[in-house]
Amino acid sequence: MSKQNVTKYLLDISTFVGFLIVMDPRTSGLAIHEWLAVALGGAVLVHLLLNWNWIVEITKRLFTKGLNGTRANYILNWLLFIDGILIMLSGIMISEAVIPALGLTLPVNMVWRSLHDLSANISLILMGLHITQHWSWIVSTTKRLLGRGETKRTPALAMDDRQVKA
Amino acid sequence: MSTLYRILVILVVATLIGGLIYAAVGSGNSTSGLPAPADGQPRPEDGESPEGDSVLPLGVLKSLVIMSIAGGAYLAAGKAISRKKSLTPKSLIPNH
Ligand code: HEM
Ligand code: HEM
Repeated sequence: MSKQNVTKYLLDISTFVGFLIVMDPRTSGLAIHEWLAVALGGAVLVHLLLNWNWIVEITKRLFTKGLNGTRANYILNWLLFIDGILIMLSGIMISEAVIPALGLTLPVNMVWRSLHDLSANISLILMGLHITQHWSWIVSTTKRLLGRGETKRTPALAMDDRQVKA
Repeated sequence: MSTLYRILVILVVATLIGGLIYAAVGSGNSTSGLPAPADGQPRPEDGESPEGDSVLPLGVLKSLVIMSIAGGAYLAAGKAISRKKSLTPKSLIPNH
């Protein structure tokens, strides 16, 4: 398996675990919630860099025929991105740990709080769809990392080292 | 260099979208009429303390259940659509 796929996989798993922790601020406490969420922003940035070729290729070919499933996936990724921005922005606007630690104060507007709640709930659905979309890649990569998927090359494995999938 | 350029593109797009959301929300003054909470203090209406006080990570479980339901519904919908498509004559499908 290529080094990039291992990096992708480890980053994705840690981002997912981080996401689960961030989704439960009552268990983690608010300070961990906020700082971890900021770190997740960085992780998503790297995630996008690692999938850059796909983003560029599909953007270029968006209006060509026969891309229906990929187009839906493309739109889903955009929704995830926009929702992520909404979560981060609304989170920053209601921050009680990160923003005060930076010595800043932001105007209070309770709308941000409802937006934070709403966008976090939406992200659960979008994340469920995103993970489902890539489930076979996750399963096959897990098997290969555990040394159980070497002999039989399924179509998913055959695509493993691809940069772009349509 | 190209990585820096890509990071810049992602950040610029994110800033544009964030700016639009910020403008749409029309932030700047409080719509709640409540005074700003003191730094680091939980809001009065908060039922729980802001520090972790729940032993069982019920929120994590809840998240996993919601994500699984969303994924399951998505798969079921996909299957239903492909079943419909498979009713089209085989001659229209390449390699058959
Ligand atoms: C705001 C958050 C996220 C955005 C905007 C995002 C976006 C993307 C994009 C654009 C791609 C490449 C296109 C594709 O194949 O769909 C992708 C692939 C992928 N993402 Fe995400 N993603 C996010 C979060 C996550 C998280 C938290 C996970 C963790 C489970 C994850 C797992 C994956 C996987 C496994 C792939 C496929 C990698 C491959 O086939 O090489 N993503 N994501
Ligand atoms: C991936 C990003 C994030 C996710 C998924 C997320 C999710 C959540 C969730 C589910 C809640 C609980 C809402 C409720 O119980 O009503 C919450 C509350 C909160 N979040 Fe986030 N959040 C994220 C990022 C951030 C960031 C970056 C900050 C600040 C820098 C932040 C600050 C807060 C604060 C202050 C609360 C408490 C709000 C209240 O008192 O109701 N969040 N977040």
